[in-house]
Amino acid sequence: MSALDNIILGFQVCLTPMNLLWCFVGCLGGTLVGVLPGLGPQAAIALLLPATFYLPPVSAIIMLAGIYYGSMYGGSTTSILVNIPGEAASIITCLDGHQMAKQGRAGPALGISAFGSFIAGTFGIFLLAIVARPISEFALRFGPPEYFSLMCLALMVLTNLTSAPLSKSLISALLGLFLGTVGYDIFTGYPRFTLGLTCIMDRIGLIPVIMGLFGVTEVLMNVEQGLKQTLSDKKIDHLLPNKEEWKRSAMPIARGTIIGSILGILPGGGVVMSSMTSYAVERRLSKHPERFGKGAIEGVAGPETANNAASQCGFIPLFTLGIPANVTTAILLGALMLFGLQPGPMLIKNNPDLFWGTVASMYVGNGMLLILNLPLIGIWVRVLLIPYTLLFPLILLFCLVGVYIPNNSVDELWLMIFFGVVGYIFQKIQIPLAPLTLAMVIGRVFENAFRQSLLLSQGSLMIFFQRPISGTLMSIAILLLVLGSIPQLWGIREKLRT
Amino acid sequence: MEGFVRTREVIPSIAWIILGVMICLGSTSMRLGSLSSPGPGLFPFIIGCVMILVSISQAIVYAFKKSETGHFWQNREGVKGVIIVLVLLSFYALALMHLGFSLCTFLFFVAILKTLGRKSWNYALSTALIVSFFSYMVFAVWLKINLPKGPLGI
Repeated sequence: MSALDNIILGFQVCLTPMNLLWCFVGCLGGTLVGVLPGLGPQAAIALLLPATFYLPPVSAIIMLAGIYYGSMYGGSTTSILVNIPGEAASIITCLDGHQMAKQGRAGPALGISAFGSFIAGTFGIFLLAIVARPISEFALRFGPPEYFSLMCLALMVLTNLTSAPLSKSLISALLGLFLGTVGYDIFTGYPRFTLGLTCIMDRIGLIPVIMGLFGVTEVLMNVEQGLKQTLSDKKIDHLLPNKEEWKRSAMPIARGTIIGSILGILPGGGVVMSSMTSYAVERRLSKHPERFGKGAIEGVAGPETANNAASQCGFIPLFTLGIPANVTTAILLGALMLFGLQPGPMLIKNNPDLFWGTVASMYVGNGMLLILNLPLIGIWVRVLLIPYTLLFPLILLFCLVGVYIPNNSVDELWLMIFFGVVGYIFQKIQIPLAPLTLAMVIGRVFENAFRQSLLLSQGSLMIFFQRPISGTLMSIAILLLVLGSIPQLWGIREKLRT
Repeated sequence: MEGFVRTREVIPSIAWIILGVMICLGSTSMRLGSLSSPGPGLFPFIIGCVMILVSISQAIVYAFKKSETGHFWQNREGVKGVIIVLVLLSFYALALMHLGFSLCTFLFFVAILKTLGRKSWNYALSTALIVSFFSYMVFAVWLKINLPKGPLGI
């Protein structure tokens, strides 16, 4: 089938009334949770994941994808109106977006962010349609060593991208890999590190961990700090950018689309990097860089487009290689596994309806966000006015019910509380949660690839370097490790010198 | 709080070293196998070893780092809030099977709104009642989720 046939198949799947409905529900729910201060896409998906358990896999993934980009959009709304980034990718939007809101230009800021996202989404769907099949066919040549090296690379990219020092990111990733080993060993059936607890006998459930790390932790941090909301009180009277604003945004949107698409494909987390890079590029290319940080629409259009392009292209490694590009797609990977699907090169071949349906739904969903969210801005502003004292018990209630539902297990509530405390302490000692989550999700596959490779090579670790693809990936991973260590080693050298 | 950052970094590093050692010991109690025939303990053993190495390097890096000042806790009120949330979450997990979903949710909300929200009894009781009623309707009646029933039968 040609790329066009695939896109048509995707739209046939996506445009059924039920799938359209779930796409809509996902976009709306995602935006709603994304708008709530302090809750990013990860928490949004975690909170709404249990709602998808009763759906067929295609509808469920369409809804989850809707929650993903819906919450990304909702996150930028919060950044612009309240100056609180929903997640790291929206930090940059705060700089100029909130300044625009303070100047009474919140409407165009929100508008350009939605249009930019839609344009990036349009480009993203074609890119997905064109490159997904060749990548997945190429990935069919991957054996366990290639997968192991690719996952090493993904972890290395992610650990290098977090703002924490490399050693902390590595510890976080190692903890995640360790947590992934808890439960029965797949090869021998031996129970590992279960401490006799039945709730983790099979493996540590992804939902209590995510709810704990991203839901409970966020609430604990916010309760401790007390949210200082600076909601822009300027009336939002017009949402469409004017001719001048369009003119200034056109090139940033085009560049943001390209930057986001390229960086988004990188396994390991291109979303944050793409918005930061886009902002830096726009500032450098601008004839008036001094306007940045004071309400320049280019500073909103570029990064918002780039992070949407990156988040959409993040689905490429997820669907074609089974490797999540960032934490949110890691959670989606976990969700796919919960539905009994194994993302990877065979997914497109075995479940073309799921893959192309989801891809088409992203396009439709972006259109829905564009049409719906602009008139709904008034509602989102009201949502932002809900006092946090009422909001956070509701978030906790969602977490509690969401964790309890899948297995009717109170033990999993304890697990969630435990990981909430762990996440809180990690935030305090500045250990990033993203590598832990990613590593935990891919932990089992990672270990299997490692053990199978060793069996193949009869115990030689050189198998990871001798095969061309694996060797290349592993070399890049090692290079990243070395490059990431330099700042810390440099610190010691300087200290010794002084 | 001079030296706060150094302490904040070195103590966790020691904790990671201890955890790494525990993982290694736990792994060796399983079959480690060999590189050509890996047992269930080999992979976690390697993780434990790498964790020890990374933690030692982190401890060294921070031992050389310039001391900075700071506070682990933001303020006394904030810490109190965190503890209250954790106690109430634990209460929910403990009481859910005994009191049932609706009563548990009601009490959870009343307690949070009174302690952290500092709302009046009228506000706390009425909000808790509305939330527990609607959440019961959504989860138990509409979505037909089997939630624990308490002495009230809901």
